[in-house]
Parts: sequence; C-alpha cells; structure tokens
Amino acid sequence: MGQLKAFLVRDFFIESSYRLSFVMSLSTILFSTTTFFFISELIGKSADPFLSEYDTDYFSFVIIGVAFSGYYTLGLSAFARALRQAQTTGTLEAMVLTPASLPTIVVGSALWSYLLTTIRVFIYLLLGTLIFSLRLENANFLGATFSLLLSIVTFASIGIISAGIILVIKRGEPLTMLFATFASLVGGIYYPVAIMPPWLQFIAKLVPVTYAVRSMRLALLAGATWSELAQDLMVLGIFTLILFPLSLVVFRKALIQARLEGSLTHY
Amino acid sequence: MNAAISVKSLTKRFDRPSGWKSWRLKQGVTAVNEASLEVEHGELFGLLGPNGAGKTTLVKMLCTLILPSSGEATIAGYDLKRSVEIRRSVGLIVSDERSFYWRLSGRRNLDFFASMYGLSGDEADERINQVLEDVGLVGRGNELYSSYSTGMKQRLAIARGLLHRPSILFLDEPSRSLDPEATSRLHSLIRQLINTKAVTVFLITHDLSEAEKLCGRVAIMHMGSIRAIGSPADLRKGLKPLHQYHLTVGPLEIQVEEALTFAVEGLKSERQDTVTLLSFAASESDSRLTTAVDILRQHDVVIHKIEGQPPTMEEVFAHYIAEPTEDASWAN
Repeated sequence: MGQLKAFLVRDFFIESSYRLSFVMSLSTILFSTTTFFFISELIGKSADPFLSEYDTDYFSFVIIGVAFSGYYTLGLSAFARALRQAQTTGTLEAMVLTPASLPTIVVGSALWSYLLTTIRVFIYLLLGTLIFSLRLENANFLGATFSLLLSIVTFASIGIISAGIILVIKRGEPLTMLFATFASLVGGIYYPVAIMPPWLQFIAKLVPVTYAVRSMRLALLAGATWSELAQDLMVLGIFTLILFPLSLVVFRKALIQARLEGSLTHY
Repeated sequence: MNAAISVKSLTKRFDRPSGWKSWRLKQGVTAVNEASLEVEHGELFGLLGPNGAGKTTLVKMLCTLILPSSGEATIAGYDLKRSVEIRRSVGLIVSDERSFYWRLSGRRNLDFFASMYGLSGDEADERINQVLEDVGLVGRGNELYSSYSTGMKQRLAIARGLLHRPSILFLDEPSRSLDPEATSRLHSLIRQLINTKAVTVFLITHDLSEAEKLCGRVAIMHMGSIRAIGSPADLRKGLKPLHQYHLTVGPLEIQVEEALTFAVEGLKSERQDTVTLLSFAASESDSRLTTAVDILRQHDVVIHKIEGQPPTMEEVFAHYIAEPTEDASWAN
C-alpha cells in the first residue's frame, strides 16, 4: 500500500506542476455537459420510446454513459500508457531495479488516472444534478458501485493485456484506440443499443462496455433492484473471471519475454 | 567467505526473433560469451571495454534486468533467480539523466524511490538526509531536479543508489558527460563510499585512466568475452614487449645505424641537429636494450639518455582487445 500511495503522491506533485492544464481539463466537463443538454433539448421526447427501460430523458442517459465510459477508455489505455511513458522517459529501469514488482509499478502508475476519472465522474454527476435535469433520487448506489467495480476490473484486465503487448512489441496504441472507438460505436454510450441494426446489436452483446453502461444506467436512473441488475452483473462477472486471470498470464509471459530479449526498458 | 559477485560462464545470446520481427535481426547475437569473474567484498572492480563489448548486458544480467541464456552467478550470495533479494542488495547507477522526474525536487524524487524500496516515514526521511549528505547535496534537495547541473544529477543518482544501503554498487559510466572537476569530485565520492560504507563497487567504464585511478582490479571485455582480469600493473606485465625505450645518443654513422636496425627488431631512428633519437619496444626478459647499448659502445657513440616507459593503459587495452578470444584462457 505504501508503494501505491507513493505513486499517487508522485503524480499529484507532477500534475499540480501543470495547474492550468488540470483546470482546463476539468472545465471541458462543463462544456460537454452543456452540449449534451442542448442536444437533449433538440431531441426532445422523440428518444423516449428507446429509453423507457431507464425511465429517463436523453440528457440523463447520455451523461451517465459518457461519465462512466471514461473508466473503459482509461482501463484500456492507462496501464499501457503508464508503462510506455516510463519506458520513454527512462524512469522504468530505475523503478524495475527496486524490489517493487512490475505489476505494482504498472498498477501504481495508472492509479492517479483512475482518481482523476473518478473526480470527473463526480463532477459530471454534480453538474448534471445541480444545473441540468439529471435526477438520481431513486438510484441504487450499492448496485451501481458493484457494477462499477466489476467494470473497472474487466476494463483494467483488457488494459493489462494491452500493457503486456506493449512490453514486447513496444506499440499498442492503435489497437487500443480501435477498441475504444469500436466500443463507443456499439456499446450504447451515446445512444441506446436498440436503435442499431440487429447485427450490430449482436456485436454489442460481445463488448463488456455494453453491460457496464447499461447496468450503471439501470442502477442510477431507474433504481433497478439487484434481481433486475443480476443479468448484466453476471455477464460482467464472467468477463472478469475470464479476462483478469488471462491478463495476469499474458503480462507474466510478456515480462519473461522482455527480460529474455533484454528489452524491458527499450521503447 | 563468499565473493560479493561470482560469475561463472555467464552467456547471453539474443536469439533471432521468430515471426514478423525476424527481419530486424538476421542472426542471433552473443552479447556476453562465457563470462567468468569474481569480485571480493569491499573491492573496487572495473569492467573495461569499448562500446558494444557486452559490459552493460553483463551488468543488467547481474541486476536481474535481463535473463541469461546459460551460466550462473551469485550476487551478494543470492542466485540470479532470486531477483527480489538481489535488487535489495544492489544499486545500479546509470548516467541517464532521464531516469528521474524532472518536475519534482531532488528530495521528492528520492522520497518516491525510497517508497519503492519499502522505506517510509521517519526511516525514509533519515535515509534521504543521510544520502543527500553523502553526496554533498544537503541544502539543494528541495530544488527542482530540472535545475540541477549534470554533476548534481549524477550525484543524485548515486544518492538514489545508496538509499537502501546496498552492499554492491554498479556504476555504469558514471563520469560520462561530466567535466574534469565534477569527475574528480565523483572519484573522491566513490573512494569515500568504499572507505566509509564498505560497499563493493563494480565500475563499468571505457575511460582507461578512470579505471586505472580507481580500480584495484579490472576486467577487459571485448566482443562479449572477458579477455583479461587483473590489476592494471598485472595486465601491463602480460604485454610483450613490455617497455617502450627511448635513447638519446650522439650522431650516428650510417653503418652503425644499419647495425642497430639489423640487430634490434623494430628500432626507429630520428636524426636531429646534434643527436639521434632511437626508439624501440622490448620486454624485460629479452636482450634488445643490451644489444643496442653494446653496439653503441663498440662504435664509441655517446649515450646521453636512456628512458624506459611502461605501456600506457591505452596500449594494454588495445593489446587485449586485439587478441583473439581463445587467448583469453589465462584470464583469472
């Protein structure tokens, strides 16, 4: 825990040395929230038939999708990016020389991004409820938290696999970007899955982000009970059970390969 | 008592990658070939070699960053497989300025790395103060790393290497990009560490004078192989011819010069205004110098001065890396 805390402290001081950038990145949340509010005004009630299961309007639907999909894009990219950044800045070798394990280094390096994303989610929800029309009175927060935890582990597992690939082939961003963009297309972040053609709806069922944003919306917007959330949570649980051990195996093999090739700190 | 570092037939072969990566490397490369050496506790040992000799690969294997292809080694008594214990026992100091966080102060950098070594709270603070004092950066610790001079950055790298009180310190070309004054201060610091901290220092360098100044023993590495190990003086003795002789003598007649050239292999002469300079290489055991002196006396040539110079470290180095690998069998 001390090592993980050290990463947070390190990144806090580095991040706080770029104050303007930090403030600007948070201010974009206000702009995007406002944008979605006006789009929602434009769409009006025409989207309601597609949103009936959530018992909400388009603004609330999209804000939850956008806010929580941040964990998906983060999970995909944060570990690999942290590893790559440490490789290119030259700090990886210094860290790897310590008794800290490489998984600790990779997870620790991504922690600050997770903290920032969580802050961003809170700001989205805060702006949405205080200024705009987001209503969370009936929310099942415990169910939402459970869904979030499963989603984070699932997304992080994909990210750790990506970091393993980076360790060996040194490049992986295009693949990560492809996954992230594809998830935005089919995962129901900006629009309900139901409006897509059947074949895309089928593909959406294979992508974990679909279940993550769906269960989050059901829990926060419709106040879904545990039994109503069970199906989505179970699918997320299966993704977790498959992807998490797989990510550890891939990363371990990649680490051995990199040490064999002597390319652990190459970029 | 076990040696601090014991290496037996350590080999690292970078195999030709399979699949689509194979175009990058047509054939496998043996970066380190059957390297064997021992370094005693508290010794300052130098590893000399030109660029690409395999020095860094060898040290990275000893620090568990690279897995060896074959052979064995123990570091501080631990087999190479025990990477965590080895990393607790060694410090690797590289001259790469990028291995720190430039937007953090020197102290905050050390604070972070102290946590990586499992140090926290008062213990970490105490160690950080101690190492900053050891390297002469007390009072500069709170300044941003980006504002440090190259010498200060190098000293901070040493401070980081000492944080966890390692028993073995690997220094990879520590004086690279330092000016002479900073290099001199660095050398004093290394000597001080040996004397006060009882650490074993393994110095990687291609600076021959640095190795000669600091190291009790050196190994010369070339093309992946250890070519020779010994004190700089021992390595000089291995050189044949051993000395370079310069004789300043009176004017020489043609027939005397021809007699000298015939009798003394490799003799060169240079006529100056009133004297002639003769130079040749000879070992202590052969009779070239005696022969030359005898010929000069027979012809009543005045000998003004005889100078004998031992080979420079550069000559020693050039000699060993020119030898074929098989000749290294006497090493150790």
